[in-house]
Amino acid sequence: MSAIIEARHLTKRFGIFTANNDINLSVQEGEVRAIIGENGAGKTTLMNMLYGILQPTEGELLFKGQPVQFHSPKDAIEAGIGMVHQHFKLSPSLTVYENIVLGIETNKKLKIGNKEINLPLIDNKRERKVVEDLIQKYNFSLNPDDKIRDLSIGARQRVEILKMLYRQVKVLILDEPTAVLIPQEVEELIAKIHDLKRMGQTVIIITHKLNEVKACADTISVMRRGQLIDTIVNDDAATAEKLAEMMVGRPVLLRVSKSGKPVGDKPVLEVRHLSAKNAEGREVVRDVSFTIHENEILGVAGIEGNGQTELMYLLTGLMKPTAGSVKLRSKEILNEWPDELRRDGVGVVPEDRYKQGLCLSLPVSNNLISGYHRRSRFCHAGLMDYKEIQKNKDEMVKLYDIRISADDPPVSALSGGNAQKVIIARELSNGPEVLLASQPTRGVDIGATEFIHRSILALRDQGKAVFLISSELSEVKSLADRIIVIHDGRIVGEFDAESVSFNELGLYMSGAKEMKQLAGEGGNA
Amino acid sequence: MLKIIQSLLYYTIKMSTPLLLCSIGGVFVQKTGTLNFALEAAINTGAFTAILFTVLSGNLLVGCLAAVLSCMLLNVLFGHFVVNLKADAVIVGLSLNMLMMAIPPYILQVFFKNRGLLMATDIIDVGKMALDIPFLRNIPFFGEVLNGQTLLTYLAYPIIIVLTIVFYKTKFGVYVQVTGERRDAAEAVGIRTKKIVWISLMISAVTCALAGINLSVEQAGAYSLNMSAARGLICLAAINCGRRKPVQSCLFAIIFGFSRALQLVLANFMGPDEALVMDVVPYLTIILVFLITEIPSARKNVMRIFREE
Repeated sequence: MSAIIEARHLTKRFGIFTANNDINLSVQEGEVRAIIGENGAGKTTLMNMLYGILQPTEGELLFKGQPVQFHSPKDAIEAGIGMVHQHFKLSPSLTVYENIVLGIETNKKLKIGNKEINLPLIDNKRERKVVEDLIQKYNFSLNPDDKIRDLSIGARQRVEILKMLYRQVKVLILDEPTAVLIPQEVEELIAKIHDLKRMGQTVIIITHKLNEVKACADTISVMRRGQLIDTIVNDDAATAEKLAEMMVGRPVLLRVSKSGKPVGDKPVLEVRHLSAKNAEGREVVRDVSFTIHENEILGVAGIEGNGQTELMYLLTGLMKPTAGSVKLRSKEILNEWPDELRRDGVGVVPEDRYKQGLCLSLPVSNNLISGYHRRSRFCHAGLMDYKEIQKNKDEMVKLYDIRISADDPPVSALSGGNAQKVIIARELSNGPEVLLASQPTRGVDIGATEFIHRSILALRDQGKAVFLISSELSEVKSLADRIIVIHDGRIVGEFDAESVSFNELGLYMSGAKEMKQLAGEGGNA
Repeated sequence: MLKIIQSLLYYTIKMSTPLLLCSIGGVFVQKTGTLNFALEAAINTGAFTAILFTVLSGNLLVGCLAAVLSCMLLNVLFGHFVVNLKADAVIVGLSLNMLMMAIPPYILQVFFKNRGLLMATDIIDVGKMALDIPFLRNIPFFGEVLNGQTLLTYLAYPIIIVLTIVFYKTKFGVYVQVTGERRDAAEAVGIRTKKIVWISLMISAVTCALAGINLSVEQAGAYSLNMSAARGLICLAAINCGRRKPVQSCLFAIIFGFSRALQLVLANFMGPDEALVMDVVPYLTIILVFLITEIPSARKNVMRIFREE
């Protein structure tokens, strides 16, 4: 075996910030290499340099022993490096085959005698045939004529992979490929990676999920704070704990420790027969009922796009329901406006922290009170009390360990983890009866994740209720007391978080299984 | 009665021509996700420079060529600000629209001592602009409708067909669609999206120039102030109502053309006061069409506070 990709002393700086520092990396032909590290460790920066999106500040890059310089992804693809991004880059209104051949379409040819003339029109028939053959060759279950917008996330990912294979790349880079998949799809993907390896493909996987790394990688490179810490062979000595310690730089508890306080029996939040339609008139939340008690965390498991977002919008007063009721300590709160909800004791950690949780251009201090800014502590006769707001900020920064560089910078200057801590601090410090949290640790580093998990558990132990939506199944399973599974807008299963297995949850998430009688429906008012 | 219907249809076709030409080119720019707000200025530029250079050179072809070139120049200006410098398309478009309302009267005042009108009727015989085609003339009933239109009216339809094929069946057309829908998807496979927008702007410049030529050269043989009369904005409305698809946008352009024809024909039967009231018909139509096309989508919005993209 020989090195297909080699990075020598690769460094990337953005201003004074060093994202990648003196990276030496060598990937062998035909191996599956995992690159692991926390968010912000520099994995993506490194890959973006391999892929021509970023140019290195220093150092050089060798492909098959030859020094190369990629100025755009197109250069990288032509050389033989393809990347599947975490957020798929597909055009939803185009078909599978149109997306696969995008940018290198085949034109119709006109034959006159011996001469072939290229017509300016696209030869859809031939493209379709070529893609169909490709699908068969790699045994991907896809229909070339399907529109991307009708496909599941897993299928879209297969389209992205095929798009690269169609371009005959030698090295396939997968950026966080399992972040959006259900357990069964993850298994399928890992099997596909093994297949590709057998066909001689070199694969690089960027991830922070250690179990999957263990399942498919030959060698593992660990990154931390812009540096490549080490590259090790994936053998029995490379345990998940050891890898996590290498990633973070200190021993980490991979399992969350719960207090063991029993779930209370007084209901806090009661949701009954909640339904809603989306803009297309499709019912996206269908007759959803559940109850959350004191000292309880209710987790929602489900593939993204099965109604979780809309359910969260409904509960936080952003979307109009078609039916149902939501009671907080027996007070009807459905259709209340967000400010009324907050007054009633509903804390909200929204799914998209930058769109609905924070105002990026405003300073941390203002973000720490937004939504609660009319409270008498911060506002007298309609005038803001900035002294008090600053004081509140100082308290929160200390209490919630928000790391800020200046005294009161705009939130846009904060890392993902610290920005999320601003939201957590704001919502928890105002003493909510129930916390509605969606994706509370998405894109957040391990340290901040630990902190946020501890905060949520502490709130539970204070006798409050927590509603937790997360696409990280392991997060739902480790934090929640009870799990409901949502599929196609409906609750299809309810489980005790302790005893249910990932595979069992996966079956319900994909819609393969469904419970007839749900325990949560028993307490109908 | 038959005569009225005939003349209504005749004028619908005639009045639709500039709208169709402007819309079919504008659809490309609009589809790339760039708000093509300078359409109005482009039509005005085309109309003005076509007459100006015809008068100056004494040659109609020179005038038409100048119209195309000046529209391209205008869109280069628009594109430089909006595509290269990422300025707000509405602000840039609006200022260009205003600029093109102010420049013609200035030039006309300085060089022709008549700020409102520039006649080219001694070079252009407007009567001859309407083509007499025996094959069309002999169709019963529709002969009166289809015959006697101008060259660009007849050319508009093949242009629409060709550009629709370009839109759906060529690489460039697919790239235009992807650029507007998922710019990052296009860029990830090495499509140069800026180039796609620039080419679209040039297509739009040419069709807007043709629209302007149709207005001033073919329909009037002269340029009069504010000749475009918000047609660029009407086309923007047509493209919007047509959901940025070529054929649909053209259908809406014809609806707006029909409303202008309605105004022209109805005004014949009225006194001067009522006739002036009829001038609002085209604009009223836009509001009506917008209501009809937009209310359902506004109704569909299920969010209470914000609108989801």
